[in-house]
Order: sequence, then C-alpha cells, then structure tokens
Amino acid sequence: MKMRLVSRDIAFYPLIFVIWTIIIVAMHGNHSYFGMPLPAMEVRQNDSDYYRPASGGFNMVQAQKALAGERNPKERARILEAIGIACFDKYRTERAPQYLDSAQRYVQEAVTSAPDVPGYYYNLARICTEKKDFASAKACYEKAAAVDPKNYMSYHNLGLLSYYEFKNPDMAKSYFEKALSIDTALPIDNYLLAEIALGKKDYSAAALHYGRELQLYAAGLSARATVMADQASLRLAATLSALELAMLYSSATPNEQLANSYFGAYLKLETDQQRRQNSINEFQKRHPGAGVPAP
Amino acid sequence: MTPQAPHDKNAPGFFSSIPQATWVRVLIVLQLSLLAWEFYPDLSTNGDDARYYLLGQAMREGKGYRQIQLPNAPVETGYPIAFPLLLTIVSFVSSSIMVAKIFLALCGALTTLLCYFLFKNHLRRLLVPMLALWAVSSLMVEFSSSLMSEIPFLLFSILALVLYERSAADPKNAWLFWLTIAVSVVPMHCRSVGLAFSAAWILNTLVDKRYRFALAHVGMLAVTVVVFHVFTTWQNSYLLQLVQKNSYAPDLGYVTVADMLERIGQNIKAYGLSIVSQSLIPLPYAFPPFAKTIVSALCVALILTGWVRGFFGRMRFASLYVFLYFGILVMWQFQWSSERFVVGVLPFLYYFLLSGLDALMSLVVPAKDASLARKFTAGSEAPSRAGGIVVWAVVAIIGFFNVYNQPKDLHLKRYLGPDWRNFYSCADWVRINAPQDAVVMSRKPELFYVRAKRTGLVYPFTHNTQKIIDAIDSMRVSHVVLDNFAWTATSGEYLYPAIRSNPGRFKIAYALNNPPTVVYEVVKR
Repeated sequence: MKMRLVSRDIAFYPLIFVIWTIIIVAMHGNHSYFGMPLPAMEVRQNDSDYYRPASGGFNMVQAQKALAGERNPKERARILEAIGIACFDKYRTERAPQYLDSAQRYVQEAVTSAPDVPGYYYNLARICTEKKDFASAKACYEKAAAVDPKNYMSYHNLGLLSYYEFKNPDMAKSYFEKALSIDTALPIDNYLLAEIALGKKDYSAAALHYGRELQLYAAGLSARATVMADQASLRLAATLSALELAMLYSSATPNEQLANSYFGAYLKLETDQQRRQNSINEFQKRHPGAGVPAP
Repeated sequence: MTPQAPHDKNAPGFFSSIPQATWVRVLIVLQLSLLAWEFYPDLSTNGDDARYYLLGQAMREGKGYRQIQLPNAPVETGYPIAFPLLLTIVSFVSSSIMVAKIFLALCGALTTLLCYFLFKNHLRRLLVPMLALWAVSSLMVEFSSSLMSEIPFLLFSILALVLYERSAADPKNAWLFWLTIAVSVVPMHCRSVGLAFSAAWILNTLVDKRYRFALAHVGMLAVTVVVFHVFTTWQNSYLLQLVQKNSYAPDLGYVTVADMLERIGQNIKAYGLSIVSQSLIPLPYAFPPFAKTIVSALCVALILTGWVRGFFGRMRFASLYVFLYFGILVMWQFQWSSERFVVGVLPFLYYFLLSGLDALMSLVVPAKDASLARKFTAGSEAPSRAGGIVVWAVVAIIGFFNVYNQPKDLHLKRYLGPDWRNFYSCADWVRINAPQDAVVMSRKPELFYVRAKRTGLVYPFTHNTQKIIDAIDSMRVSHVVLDNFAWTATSGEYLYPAIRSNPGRFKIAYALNNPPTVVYEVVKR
C-alpha cells in the first residue's frame, strides 16, 4: 500500500484508543449486568384482580412522595403524567368529575415540564375529549402528531373527532388516511372512510374500504392495534362493512355472487337479532328468491 | 494511520496554519470524549442489540449461527453474519457486553480516520469541516454506543473504498487487490442494504473500465453468499419483508405494483421532508415547525446539489452509492423508516451537504474564476475567505444541535422505567430460582435470555386464548412473565386473558407492584 505514514501517528492512535479503553473500564468495570430480584409482593394465588394493566396497581401516596422529592423536570413530568392517568382511570371507574379535573391538571403540568413528549399531549387530548372540550382535544392531538409524526393514534382520534364531533368528513378523511398510511392494520378507520365515500356516492372507494375493514377483522389483525375500542366495536365495524358491501353489490354495482357472499359473511358476524331480520328482509327485497341461511 | 497531509495552498487562510492531520487527531479525541460521555455498559431495551450479541455468543460457543435464546435454537434467517462474526472474535477477548461496546465505539472513531483517508483527495478545505460534523454527529455517537451493525457497515464500506483507491493506484499489487475485494463484499454481509454498495461498486468499476475489480467482486460475492447459505439456510426474511404489505400483519399479503409505488411515495416524502435533515441536523422537538420545514428544505436542496456535483465530479461512486442506497430504503416498509437507516451513508450526506454549500458559496461570493459552471463544479478550487467563514458557521450550528441532543439521548438510554425495572427483576428471579431447562414466555425473550440465562419465546399476538395455551404446551413453557410495559399493551391484551381464563394452569411464583408484574409457573396438564 502506498500509504504515507507519519511515525507519531503509529503511536498516537493505538495509544489514544488504549487510554480511552482504560478510562471506560475504570469507569464501568465493576458494573454488573445482572442484579438481585426486587422484594416480592405478597399475593394470594388466583387473585385475578392483582394484575391490572397500566395504572391498575398505582400507588398514589408513593407517587406523590416521589414527586415531592424529584427535581429533574423530565422525571417530574413522568410522575405527574402517571398520577394524572391514575386519576383518569379512577374517573372512568367512579365517574366523579373531580378526578377528571385532577387528571387534566396533572397531565397539563406534565406537558409544561416536558413539552417534547408526545404521549403527554395524547393523554391530555383524551382527557379533554372526556370533558367534551373537543377544540382543546383536537389541538392536543395535533401537537402530539407534530411532535411525533408517526403517532397514528393521534391521527386516528383526530379523524374520529372530525367525523363525529366536528361533522367534517373531509377533514376526517384526511386524518384517517394519514393514520392508515402509518399503520395499515388500524381497525375502524377503513369503515369510516367507506362511510365518507358512500356519502359522496363514490361506490368504488366505499367498496374498497369496507372490504379492507372486513379483511382486517377476518384476519384477526384488528387485535394488533392498540386502538381504544372494545371487541364489540371492532366486530360491529366489520359486521356493518359486510352488510354495506352486500347492499352495494345488490344495487349500486350489481354483482349477485359477491352480494350473496358478503351477505353470508354479514350473517355470520351479526349479533343483533333485530338488525339481522331487517337486513334479511331488505336483502330478499333486492334479491327475490335468494336463499338466506337460517340464523 | 494518518498521513501528513500537505497544506492546502488554496485554502482561504482560515485555520490553514494547522495541518489537517493535527485536525484529525483533535477531532478523534473530541469524538472519543463524546463517546466516553455517552458510554453505558448495558444493552438497550430495543432487543436488536441483544440478538446480535447472542448470535456472537452462539458462534463463540460453537453452536453455529443460531438463535440460542429460543427453544431448539433455530438457525438465524434475518440478520447478516458479518457483525455477529466480529462480535464472536471480540468475545474471545471477553464475552462481556461492555467489551463488545468498547469495540463498537472504537469502530466509530476508526470510521473518522478512514473518512479522512477517503475524502482527503476530494474535499481539500471542506475536509476538516466534514470530519468535524461526523465526529460530533449525535447519530454517530448513538450507534457507536450500541451493539448495532450500522457502524461496522460504514467502517467496512469506507475501508473498501480507501483500499480501492490504493489498489487502483498500485495495480501490480495482488495482495492489495484481493484484500480490497475481500473487504468490498463485507458491507453486503453486514447489512442487507449493502446490496446497494455492491451494485454501486460493480457499476462504478465498469464505468472506470476496471473490469477485474467488478468481476472479482461478483465472484467473491457469489462465493460468500453461497457458502453462508449452505452452512445456514436459504431462507431470507428480508426479501420476504420487502414484498410483504406489513410484516406485523402478514395475513395482509404481498404488495402489488400500486402498493409499492404508494410505499415509495410515502418514504420519499418521509425521508425528504424530515428523516434525512433530522439525521444530519437534529433540531429539538420544541423547534417551531415552520423553521424545521425551512431547515429541512435547505438541507435537502444542498444535499441534492452536492450529489449532482459529486456525480459529475470526482465522487461519482458516492453519488451512485447513495442513490442506490436510498433506492432500497424507499422500498422498505413505511413503519420502519427512520434515522437509523441513514447512519450507513451519513458521512456521504455530510459531504454532499458541505459540497452543496460550497457550490452555493462559489456562485454567490465573487472568486477569481469567472466561469459560472466552473465555479459550480470546482467551488473549492476557487475559494474565498467569506466562503470559509460561512462554511465554518454552518458547521458550528449543525455541530451545536448534534451535541445539544446528546444529554437527552443519554438520559433516555440510561434511565430504566419502573416497567423495565420490574421486567428485569423477574429475569433475575428466574435466573436464581427457575431450573436450568426452564422455558420462559415473555414479551422480550432475547433480553430476558441475556439476563435470566433461560430460553424463551414471545406469546402469539392473538385474542384466541386457546392458541396461547397451545403455544405454551407445544413449546413446553414452564414460566410466563406477565409484564406491564408502558410502551406496549400486548401482554395485557393477549397474554392476560389467556391466564385469566385458565386459572388452574398458572401459579403465581413471583409478583411485583408499581406496575404489577408477575412470573407465573405453568401447571402441567
């Protein structure tokens, strides 16, 4: 190699690397990756209420003590948010408005202490939504999305707010599309996009989104997303998607085979007996003589 | 080693009395200081570094290229072998995580030295500013402080290019030629995106009419790929991930041409509007969005200018390589697009940025050379003092934002939340109390294995509780860790219902509070 070597560099770099290594070993040499387990809690066997996801086992007194002794703003924000969410959970159990006010106050303080954490804005938005202060909720979700552009849950919730509260389907559409561009397996968003498309008589887009919603549910993929929706809501979105597809293929873009197939899928999903009967009547009206499976 | 660089006679007199070699020494000392400040001897909580570490350990223990943290230790199909192989070599010195991380940090510093060798003939007065940006880059520090393959990938890419220049200048040296070829295939075996490096290598050597470099590279690549697959497996999960719609939802199927075009569009937007500029200039979150947009637009415009300049100038390889590299990145699934992927070409992007700025200054600031086109293509050959001041001012600002970001990253890396503290405590409990052949179901089996020394697996992500019970039985799981992670709700969503609906199958062995976290012993049928 025609590499021009400078003699002092032959010594310099190995030396500096060795010195650096010695410093690091001296600083961290006695660090152990392993630890001793923390003292265990006394728990009765089969105490199914012991484990509560998230803040179920939150110790408010301990958290308040930790907060009083904490000076680091980021750490304070974390504790403030934890207390706020515990208050929010308590509100949802007991429905006492003072818990909701406390939750808002704590999470707002967390936001002030650490304005760069998207989760704090997100939780503040959830609290504002619960208080029906939709304008503030929207602002908080937007802030969460601005801080973390991949926060699909913020876009999802902005879509829901725009659709249900602000009655602005165009705005809702853009938010749902944004959410789905980040996580294609988000449930409900496709259903609402289809509803928006149906409202505009864009049947092909409606069919596409209903189909995706149904496909997601059928594949059990909706379960993956951490959307704050229970299984019943997810199933309802899929059920109604199947029904709308059956009706779409019965009237707007007729295709008897697809209509029958989707109506069969709908009947498998439907749990509401009244709606089921109404749908069967409507379907038979559109397809006289169509064989409908027994409930 | 650093050669004594000649003084740049055309330099604008700005720090020009200090030889470049001295600058490099100062910068590497500065870089090592930052790396020492950021150094922490633990694995991160993302799990990828634990997997690399365990692959290295598996080979060190003679178990082959296998995932020893899983029951039955299946062959690894996802991660390329070069980095785990390096970790295996390091583990002969010591198998501690800290020693592996020291090695990685030194690789980061070596990369700076290699960048000097690579760019010194092309950048002249922009060389030191470019090296300064790389040496304080927060991404460089982050990835030199974690057991990830990005820094070794970059190290071997640059080493291959440095050797190529030497070998091309000394064509009769067969040893150097074959060393160059051997090193040139390492990027491909270090990260799958190294395919871009190989493609750029072949194209560039063909254009240069250095056919033996192209042929030898193709031959060496074919041999190493075949050998690797013969001894491991022919499966390649990266190719599968490229064509899947969403790897977290495999049932969605594969992408169509329209889906792929949509994905490419989304990725171009994401990389163009934020990821690339944020990688080079990590502005704080609180920075006004409009200012971020302006900085981002400027950054991308300068990079593109530098890219064009490089393509038609003396750095055609860099331009070609970065183009192909991003060509692969934009086809990757959108949810994975991040600054992490930019690290592999970060010095090249800093080079383009400065080269673009230099071109701009050459057009704006009057210089001796009259031709506009000449000023654009050879700005650094027609320097001005004002241009030098502007370049250094920009470097100072970018450097400030990079260093400013680091204490925050440091806190995030070193701080373990209560959810993680409890999870690790469960691992400690299992290591001390569970039998050696225990199989543990948990959310992060690789991190759990490193700490608990027990194999394990993740529970299936399904609401079908029977499927989870079936997985427990079929894999002979003896313990289940019900965590309470703040970053994911999957354990509460999938595992908890399975435990709750089968109370007779689980016995609490160890429980913690704040947040509630439990180790269950599985009762055999």
